[in-house]
Amino acid sequence: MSEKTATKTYPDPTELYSRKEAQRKIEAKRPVSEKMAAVTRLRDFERKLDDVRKANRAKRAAKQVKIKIKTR
Amino acid sequence: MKRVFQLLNEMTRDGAIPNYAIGGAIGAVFYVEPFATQDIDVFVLMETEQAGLVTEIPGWQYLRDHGYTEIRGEAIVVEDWPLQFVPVSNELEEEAYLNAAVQHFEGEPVRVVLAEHLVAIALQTGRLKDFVRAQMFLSQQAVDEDLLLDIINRHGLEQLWAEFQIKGLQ
Repeated sequence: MSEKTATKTYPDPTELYSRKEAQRKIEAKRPVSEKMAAVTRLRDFERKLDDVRKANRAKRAAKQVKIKIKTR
Repeated sequence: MKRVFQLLNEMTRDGAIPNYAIGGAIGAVFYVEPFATQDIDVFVLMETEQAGLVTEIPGWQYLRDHGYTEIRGEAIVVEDWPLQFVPVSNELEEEAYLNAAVQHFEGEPVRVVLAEHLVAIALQTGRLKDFVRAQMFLSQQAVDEDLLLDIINRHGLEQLWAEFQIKGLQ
């Protein structure tokens, strides 16, 4: 995998985030049935990750997680 | 969701994006109970002009070429999930992107930002809902607090960490 290190000139995401927030407000006005469908789908996704979450907690309890690359 | 992760891996393999890291609420679900969201925030490194303007969002053309043309707000819809590419925009996010760990969803590998970086990014963003998210990680013992404090100190988030604690959210 050809990993590219970033230059120190980062993009400014301010405008992107304000558009995202505006979209979130629009989505909040969707019909309840649509929102419920989204919640059901998310819950299904969450349930399938139950074992993954347990494994991730166990790794942290055992201090097995390391940060290998530090940018500061 | 599995198809979304497969597609991101295919995009990486085919060179449409150099790599990716799942962040935001969907990344958090790998560590804690879910949040009221369905956007899939994907950190990617982007080319920028000197002024910091994003010149091209990587991967969009690839997705269009593969038949994904439905746009919802700022996201492109894949299997009814809104996929949102988010530019790495500071040193903390770059570190989170570089250290993302491979997790598995239904047998499919997926790069996910570490829990400690998700919490640090939530603190840095600093909205009430981000603090609530950070609190969930801590109350569910989903972070290594030593690692989190190391990130907080190195990235100058001590003030936000103190504010978070004063608000009684920890």
